[in-house]
Amino acid sequence: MKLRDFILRRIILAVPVVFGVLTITWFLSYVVGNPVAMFITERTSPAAIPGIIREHGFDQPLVIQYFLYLRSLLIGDWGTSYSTGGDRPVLEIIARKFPATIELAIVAMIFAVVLGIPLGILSATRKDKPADHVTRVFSLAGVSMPIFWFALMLKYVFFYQFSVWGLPYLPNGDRIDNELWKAVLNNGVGYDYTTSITGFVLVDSLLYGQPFLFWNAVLHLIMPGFCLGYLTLAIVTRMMRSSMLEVMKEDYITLARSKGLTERIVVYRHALRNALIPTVTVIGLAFGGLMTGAVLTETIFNWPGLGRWATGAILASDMAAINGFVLLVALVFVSANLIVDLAYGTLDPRIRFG
Amino acid sequence: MTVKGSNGNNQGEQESTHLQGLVHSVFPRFHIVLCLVAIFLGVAYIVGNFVGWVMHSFAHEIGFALPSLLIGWPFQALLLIVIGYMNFKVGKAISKGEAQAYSSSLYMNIITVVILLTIGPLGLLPAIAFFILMLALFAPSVKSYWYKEFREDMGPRSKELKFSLHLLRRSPLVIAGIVIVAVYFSIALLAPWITPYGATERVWADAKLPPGTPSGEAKVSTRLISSNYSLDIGLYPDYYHGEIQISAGEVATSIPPIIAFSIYVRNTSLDSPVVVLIHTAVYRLDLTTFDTLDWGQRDPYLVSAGNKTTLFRSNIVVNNTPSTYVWVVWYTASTKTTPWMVEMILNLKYNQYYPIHYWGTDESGGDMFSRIIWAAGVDLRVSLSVVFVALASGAVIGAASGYFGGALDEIVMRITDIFFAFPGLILAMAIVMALGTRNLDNIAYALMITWWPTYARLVRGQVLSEREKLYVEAARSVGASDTRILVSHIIPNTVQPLIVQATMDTGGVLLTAAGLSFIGFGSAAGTAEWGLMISTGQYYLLNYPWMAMIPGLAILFAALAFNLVGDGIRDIMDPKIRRRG
Repeated sequence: MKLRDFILRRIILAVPVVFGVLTITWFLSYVVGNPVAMFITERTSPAAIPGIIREHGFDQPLVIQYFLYLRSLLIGDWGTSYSTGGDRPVLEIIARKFPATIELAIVAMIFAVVLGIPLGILSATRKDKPADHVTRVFSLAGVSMPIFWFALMLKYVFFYQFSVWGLPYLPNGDRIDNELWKAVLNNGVGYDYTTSITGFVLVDSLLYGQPFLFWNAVLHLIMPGFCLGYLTLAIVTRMMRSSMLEVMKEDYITLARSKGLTERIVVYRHALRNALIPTVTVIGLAFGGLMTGAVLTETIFNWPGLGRWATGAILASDMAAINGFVLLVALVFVSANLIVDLAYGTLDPRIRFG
Repeated sequence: MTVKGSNGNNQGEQESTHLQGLVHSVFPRFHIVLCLVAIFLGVAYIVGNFVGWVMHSFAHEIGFALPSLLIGWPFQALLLIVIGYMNFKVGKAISKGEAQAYSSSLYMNIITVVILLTIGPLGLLPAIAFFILMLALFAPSVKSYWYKEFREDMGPRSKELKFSLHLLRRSPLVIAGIVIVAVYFSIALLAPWITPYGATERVWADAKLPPGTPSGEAKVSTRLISSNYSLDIGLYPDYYHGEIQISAGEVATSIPPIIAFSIYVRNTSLDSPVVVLIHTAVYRLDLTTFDTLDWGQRDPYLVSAGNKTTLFRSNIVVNNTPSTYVWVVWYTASTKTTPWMVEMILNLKYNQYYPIHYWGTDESGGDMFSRIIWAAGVDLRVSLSVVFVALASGAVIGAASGYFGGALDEIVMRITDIFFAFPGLILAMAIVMALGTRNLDNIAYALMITWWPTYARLVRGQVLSEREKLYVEAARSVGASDTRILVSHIIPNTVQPLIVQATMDTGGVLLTAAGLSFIGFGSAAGTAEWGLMISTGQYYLLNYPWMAMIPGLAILFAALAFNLVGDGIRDIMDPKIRRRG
């Protein structure tokens, strides 16, 4: 099979999944739940409700409602969210808040990959030594850690206790110190969607030519980024360790060793590349875990992304927001899996031809 | 050797045929009885529950009855009917004298008893009856034939088991995991006996105490000694009296017992006030000299009941040794123009102590230690039920899908694909939201729906690889049915990865359920549940960190223990790693 055919096949296979996702969200919010709630806000008068029912076709048969639902998704009418103050279209809020979540997820992923792969290698090359045991416990703890609790504890130690002890402490929450932003850039609004250029605070501060703001943003990212990345870090470490151990048993490693190559070259040149392949898949799949974690982490670190918005929506029973959020996360997750699949096929020709 | 062996076998066969004849004569058509009982129970169960469900639906919303309808009784009823049918087949096999039927029948009836027990208290009676019948029928055969066969069959397996235990003993982390899991389960079961406070009990005066502080309010056990009630009492003095025995069990703490008098003086007419003089006393009588010892009394006290009821309390402390006391209440009206009455309640307050809040208290005075232990039961129940239901349904679906293949397989796999497109917590979130009510039950239902595809995939993969193996071919060639191949040959071979996955998922479900509870999907505020406790504790994090810290540690250790055990089982059972050294 050619690479092009492979890619096409994978994309076609993803189509029914996307439809399934749409169907499930439709089923949950339109059949099990009350769909009218998505279009009713605190300021809707009771007299307007029959109009809403007619307008959105909730008096139609379910099949027609389903197609109406697909249509409204396609034309960008995802309902109205009222939990963020003011009634706003869900899609608009998603567009504003998505970069914050993506930024956090990327930083978490960087933590996971940059720490996880070396730790996995360390653990595999020193199997059953103290370093291995420590790494294994560390990664097991990551898998068993309630992320919301971990976030609270990080905050307690690195923000509160460090400030009590007079040490340089990490910021409590938010993406950037707003007062600092106002003072440096003299624009009075602080950092939000009106003053951002790309939506990524790290990029924006550099675009404004302010390395000081950039450093501030980095400080703000450390705790939530590590907290969110810890689970992925643990998974990557474990996967790296086991695939490394698997690879080290292969014949070509024995051959490389018997050729008289140094252990370093054997590990990094021969073993690492092959051991990386399963790890790449795991990293892709961990993206779903990151989205889940974002809901909990953003709430605690007051991070103005999708997760915090979703939590607020849950507490306010804002159906439209939750529906939009679930749909978006599923679509992002499907595309992440697709990309990993394609990358996997590109990296490992055996997958393509198998 | 061969001669001996064949002799032994012949003997065994003779013995077993003899026994079968015996069994057959004692219980003619026993299998039919078993089968009818199981089918009757199944049908009764379906009918009863259907009627109950219909009534429930008329009384309430349908949304509450539906989930239990979907996952609860049809499953059990179907199993009962299947067991009835199998009992019938096995019974036929027994009467034909096929020896291996004994063991399958035994397993079947063990399952029957377990299923009957899940029905509830009423299931207990048929379960006991079944158990007795089972023993009566199978004990002789087990002893004579089956046990020997079993020993021979199990020879290599018991060797493997011993080796597994040997590996287990060499991995301290797994043992630690098993111990922690066992501790969690036992504290969850023993919660009523090891907690000083109830799950939602609060001592408001103790709010926000740090770990290790004794409570400001004593815990006390109370025993009613006497209660009296007198109407329209005359002008003359009157008294109540009696004896009280304080036993050794009632002086177990260092604080001595108290005899607490509560005396209500009620003015039954509104014409004029009444003033009553009350005197309470407690003493011990030395029966040799008739001296009164340990004399404790409350001085005469004037109680004025204008035109209402007035309560007079008197607490008299007695010695902290087991002994017999005499108590007396003497009363008279000092001015009296109207009818009045006296009601007296006398309590012994014993075993008083000031409980230590080992892990501090929360913002409203709930004892963290007790609440966390009570919550262990709640959280473990959620995660175990989720894993059990997801495992059972996922395994059946996955096995069918893998074994039969074709269109069924394709459909099931596409459905699991769709479920895998949602991160677990987020799909569960949407489901709870759609279900409408926020409580732990709905979290559990949502997680069951979210989790089954994992098992379906796992079992399908295993079945696909097992299906092609030689032993399945052999079974098919001797004419075994699809069901038999699937149930008694393939599924046992897929059990091991399932156990590993289920153990690790118990921890994962625990984390997810706690996360859902943390963001506000759980029970009402004040319920003892770890996620909710952290959620409340986060607002007091800076000044009272233990409120959020300790429940989080409880979750962490529980999840860690399940992961350790799952990891360890995988390493021990995996044939690739097993013999490596």
